[in-house]
Amino acid sequence: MDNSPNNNILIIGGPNAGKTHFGGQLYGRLNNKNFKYKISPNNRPTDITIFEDVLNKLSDGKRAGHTEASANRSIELNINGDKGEKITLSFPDYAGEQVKMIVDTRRVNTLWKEYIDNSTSWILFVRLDSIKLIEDIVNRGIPSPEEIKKRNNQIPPVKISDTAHFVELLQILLYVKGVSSLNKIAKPNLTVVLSCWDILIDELKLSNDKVPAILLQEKIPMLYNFIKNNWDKESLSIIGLSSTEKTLTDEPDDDYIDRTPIDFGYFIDSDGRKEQDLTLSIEKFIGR
Amino acid sequence: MAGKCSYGGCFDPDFTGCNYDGNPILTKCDYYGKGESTTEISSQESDTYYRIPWTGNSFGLNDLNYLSASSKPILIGITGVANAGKTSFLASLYCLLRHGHTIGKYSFAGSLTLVGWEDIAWFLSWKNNGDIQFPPHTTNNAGRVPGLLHLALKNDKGEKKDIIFTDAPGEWFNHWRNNVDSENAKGAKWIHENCNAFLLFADNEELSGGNRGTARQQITSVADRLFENIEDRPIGLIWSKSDISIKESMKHSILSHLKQNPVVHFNELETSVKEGESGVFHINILESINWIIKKLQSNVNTKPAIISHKHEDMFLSKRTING
Repeated sequence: MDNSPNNNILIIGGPNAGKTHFGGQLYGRLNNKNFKYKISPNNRPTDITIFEDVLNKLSDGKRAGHTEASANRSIELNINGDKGEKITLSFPDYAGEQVKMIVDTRRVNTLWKEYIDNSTSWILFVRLDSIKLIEDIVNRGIPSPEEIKKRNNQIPPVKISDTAHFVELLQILLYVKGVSSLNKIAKPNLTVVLSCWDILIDELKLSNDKVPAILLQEKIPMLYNFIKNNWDKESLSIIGLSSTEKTLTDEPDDDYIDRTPIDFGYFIDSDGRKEQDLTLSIEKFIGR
Repeated sequence: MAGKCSYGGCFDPDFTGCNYDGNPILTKCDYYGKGESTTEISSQESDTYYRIPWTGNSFGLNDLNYLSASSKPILIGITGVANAGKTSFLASLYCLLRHGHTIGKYSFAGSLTLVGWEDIAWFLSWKNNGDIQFPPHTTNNAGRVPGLLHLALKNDKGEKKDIIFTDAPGEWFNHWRNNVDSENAKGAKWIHENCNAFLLFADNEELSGGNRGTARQQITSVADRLFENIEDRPIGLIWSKSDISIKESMKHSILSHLKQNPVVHFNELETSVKEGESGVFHINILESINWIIKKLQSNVNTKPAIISHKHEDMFLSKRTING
């Protein structure tokens, strides 16, 4: 059991990684008595404008808009479990470009320094369907000598591979938080969320019991090795997530309107089991 | 003195952060802004950002301070004359790790020079037009310290190895084999004096071509220098571009020349950017590093098991593994 009543969750994800939809769908469920964790009824947040746009859009069966680049707000939610345990979750809302900027400019601003310092759990959103497969001498071999002769003198791009990007991001966050990587990391907890799982199932033709950790290892093994080597296994989980269960567009989806948004969405736990109660993912995040 | 800092070891604090005492706020460092700055100091902007002490590019000598403060890295000298495939070897090694391959029981656990690795690996990656190119010639800038590439590895017991590879132009070794005290040989001399282990590259393409006599002479004379004061430092001979075969007599003459020297740890391995039968050339790239790690740790005590580490445990934070 986690003895600390305050669990400060930092959701880390680049542009379009699915942070906003997750926030909206989680809040919707926390606000409903049918799920394990609930918003403390006497302690509701006074200002929920963070979720305003996404809740409205989802209720109309539409996708939420992109979080504006300059947005930096955070919300604190007081949550009760079904046995009366109290958890304080706070998560900041920001545009994903800010995460990209950290790696590109190799520095964090004071606001992010505060987010990182205050956080006790990190949730890294990774969208495998938008990650470019690396093709090099290991999996593609090398072409015939004639083709090699045709090579032209291009200058290497500054852009680094997605796997290197995520590793560098975590290295930077660990440095800023002052965590040593000589021994395995117990705090902060790390949850890697493979978002848009419904798209992955379609595109990769995954079986229904695909274990998220194995998928991560298959698709971006260097990131998998990095986190497995650096995090204590008690403090690490790798899960799949589909916040909306299907791809929403700017056109209203009738199912969503008729059945309400909280009827949609699920996560895939570390063993590959599907779980409709998104609030249970909170247990993973805080390392229970 | 450099950039906006008057402290000798701090070259560009605006980019790399404070190198003097790691002060997160640059303007609070006594040395900051005291140097002959070439640009206006905007202290307001500097105040609002926290920087990290590595750039991601190849290390210089000063960058090693950050790493060697907490552990004793293994320095591996990648040696051999120009065009012997040294940088391609390093690029292939990184590509293999990027695909999840392991070095013996060790797998990827981080790197402070990811941009440097990605730059050389880019040359062995497919482009949009299906083309591929080998890394260009490593520039001979007549420096005294080679570019250094860093890799952190961990095994299943959580034991960490920090490894530094030198990526130096072949010309340095050409100057060095002729004249150890040559101005252009200083970098090669540095590698020989400081590295814990060496890989010497023999280029099968050259050793099977019209200049094979000269090529053999170059390899054996670099080897002669390398074997001086080698003591128990491991030396691996890498037959690079092994998809091209060479005459047994050529191989034999090089090996018998090398074996005249007293050496404690010697090994030879065939590698290539082409994977070869059952991937043997790629496996050997990984194995060459595994062999070095095993030889170097044969005289180090095993690490006591620490089940879990919380960052509040300050004593454990400073414990080193291979120091």
